[in-house]
Amino acid sequence: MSEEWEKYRNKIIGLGEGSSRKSYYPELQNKIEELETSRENLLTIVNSISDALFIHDQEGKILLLNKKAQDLYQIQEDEFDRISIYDLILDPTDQNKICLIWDKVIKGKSYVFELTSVNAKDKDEIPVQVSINQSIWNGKKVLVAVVRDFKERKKYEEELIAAKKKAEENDRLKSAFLANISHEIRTPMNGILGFAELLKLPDLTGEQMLNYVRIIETCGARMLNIINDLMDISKVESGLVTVSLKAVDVTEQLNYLFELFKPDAEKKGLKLIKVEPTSGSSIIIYTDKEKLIAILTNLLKNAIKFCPHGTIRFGYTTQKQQIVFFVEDTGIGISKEKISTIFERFIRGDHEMSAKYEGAGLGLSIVKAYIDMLSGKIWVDSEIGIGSKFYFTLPLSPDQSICKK
Amino acid sequence: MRNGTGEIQLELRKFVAPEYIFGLSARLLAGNFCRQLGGKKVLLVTDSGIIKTSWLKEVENSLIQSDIDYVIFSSISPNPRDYEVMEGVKCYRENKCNIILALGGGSVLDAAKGIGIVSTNHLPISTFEGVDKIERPMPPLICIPTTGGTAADVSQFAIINNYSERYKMAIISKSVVPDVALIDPETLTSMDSFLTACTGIDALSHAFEAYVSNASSAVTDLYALEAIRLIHFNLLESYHHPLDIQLRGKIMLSSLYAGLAFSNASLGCVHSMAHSLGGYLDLPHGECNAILLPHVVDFNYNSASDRYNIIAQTLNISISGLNESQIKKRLIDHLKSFNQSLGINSNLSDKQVTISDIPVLSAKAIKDPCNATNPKPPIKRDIEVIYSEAM
Repeated sequence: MSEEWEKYRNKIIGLGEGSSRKSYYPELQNKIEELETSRENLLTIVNSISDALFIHDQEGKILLLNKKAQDLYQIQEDEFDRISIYDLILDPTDQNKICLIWDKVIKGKSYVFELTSVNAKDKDEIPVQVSINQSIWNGKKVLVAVVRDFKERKKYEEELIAAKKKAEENDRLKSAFLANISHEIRTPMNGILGFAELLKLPDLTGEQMLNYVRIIETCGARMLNIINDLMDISKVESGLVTVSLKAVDVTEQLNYLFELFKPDAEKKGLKLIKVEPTSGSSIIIYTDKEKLIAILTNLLKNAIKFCPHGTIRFGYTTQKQQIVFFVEDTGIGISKEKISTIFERFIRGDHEMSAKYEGAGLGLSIVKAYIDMLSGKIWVDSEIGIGSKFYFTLPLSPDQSICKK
Repeated sequence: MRNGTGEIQLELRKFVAPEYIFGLSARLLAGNFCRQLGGKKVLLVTDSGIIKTSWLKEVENSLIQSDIDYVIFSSISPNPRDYEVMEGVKCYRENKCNIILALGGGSVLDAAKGIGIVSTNHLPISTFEGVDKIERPMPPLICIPTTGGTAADVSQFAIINNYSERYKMAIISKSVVPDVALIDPETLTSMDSFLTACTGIDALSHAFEAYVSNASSAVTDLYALEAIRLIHFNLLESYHHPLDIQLRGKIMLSSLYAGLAFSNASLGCVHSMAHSLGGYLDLPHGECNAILLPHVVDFNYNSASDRYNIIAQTLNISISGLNESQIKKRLIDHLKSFNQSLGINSNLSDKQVTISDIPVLSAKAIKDPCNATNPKPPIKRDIEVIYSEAM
């Protein structure tokens, strides 16, 4: 017998591999197992995705929802058959809109749209994006809605809009600042040029001449001030300012400042008082001495400037890990509306004030920038007509993050 | 072996048979079984001959009673053709059928098997020619045979005519064993005498070849010999008394026995040569078998003389005191006269076979897998000689 026929014969007898009787039913069984596996996997996938998923009919009856949908809309697993899609959309206009969309989706179109939905429990608003497609459930045409939570995104959107607004505001402020600063520079310049002209007049007494020269000096000093401030702020803006930490004796610095400003205060009829904790012992902090002096100088200058009469007190207290400085006056005060913006660059307490009080409005923003660099905080308590109290904190011990700056 | 003194066969053998119901009115259970097998839409395969009988209407009623939808496919010729199978598959798919019910003779049952195979395997029917080539099982198949010979309702065989190449493809696979056979002797009463003779001889040749097959087993032997006995003693009677339901029952039972035997033991050169002949000249399968059987016995006898002698005894041929060639001659003569008594006296030349056809016929026949179980492995030259002797 040829080998081929031997092989045939064995297969006919039924002893060959795979030559058993085949029935439809094991095959069906396999298909059922395949289906079950694929259903199991599908459920896992559906429950793993970060979007909410609903399968529902055209009446809004929910047939299946995933874990994310249960969480997002606060629907218990055993209660979804009592909840309709309409329970998750409160606005009647939106309900009508979605009804029309369902009609079109059932006919085979797919849709993506945004909507404000509410959760099933306490009807909190959830802004969402919905992608909706048609499918089949038990032989009936149904809708599959994939719902993406847009809460975070909406938040970012709002932040973005706010940032844009702020950028525009800053731009506007810069223009205003430019105008303001031009004015601030022109005023002393006019003084300088005007009195220089007067100096040329014949028959001036020695006293008159001396008076004019003093005025020119004052105007020059004022201009130098403005230019120094401008340079400081532009250094801060361009990140050129560096911090150099050293041990600083606070009492020593306060004494120095007290001596420095005492004449100015007295000249204006104000009382300058330095306040220190009762312990009396001197305190050493690690900070940038030049900047600390600049901060206190600015605050004291402002206090003197905006205080027509009364007392100016300054000093410090200590708390846990920080030292709190304060500068307090009995001056004109700052309105509640303006308090939040006085530390922003190019803003001065009140536009009306610019007429009355000279200055470019740079001081407090420099102060704020310096305090930020030194890991401190600044705030102010103030009441119109009563006075203002500026506070700022600095860390007591050296801070790694400052050193890096 | 028969008298209990010889050795029994202990070589591995398997016996496969479908669930079958034998008896009067078995056909009326069609609806019930379709439902049990999960049928929702039945492809009812039949042919133009059966449409004329009352069987189809009865089976349809049975389906209606079981509330099962169906569609009839009946464009099947004798020696069913490959393209007819493909048309049936189209019908099956277009109507979203999920079960096949075949009502008819061997052609219808084989076509139904073909439709089943292709509908799940999605390849042309010729792909499955040969042994054990079917990967996926076919849909549930219920067969109601209406002839007493084919036994396709219980067998692992399906014979499809490769129409363009003019030969019959043998598809042998446990996959084509039907799920249920409803074997109803009553259906035989619609056969005319010629068809009764042809299909009866077909059953006889099934039993003959299964008994001498090199894949036979103790179990197939039982069925084969009983089939030979039943046919030998009842076919002629039934031929003359077509309405005798007892005789029809015996022939139907012998066809079932022969079917169970050959489905498991397979066949031999009678069938390999008849397949080639039937496909080439579109001749009735039973008649081809009838003409070829005595000549194949002549060729095989010496390779399985013990078995042929037992067949001779089963046919009531007195063999005592005869030598082997005498027994062989008596057996062959007996078969020829049996043919003649049934009105089959022709030889191949009467059937318009010419000498020049023999090389083509032999070339196709030698490739048929039925040769694999012939007691004497043939070569092409052997086949040519047998054909020419049958001229």
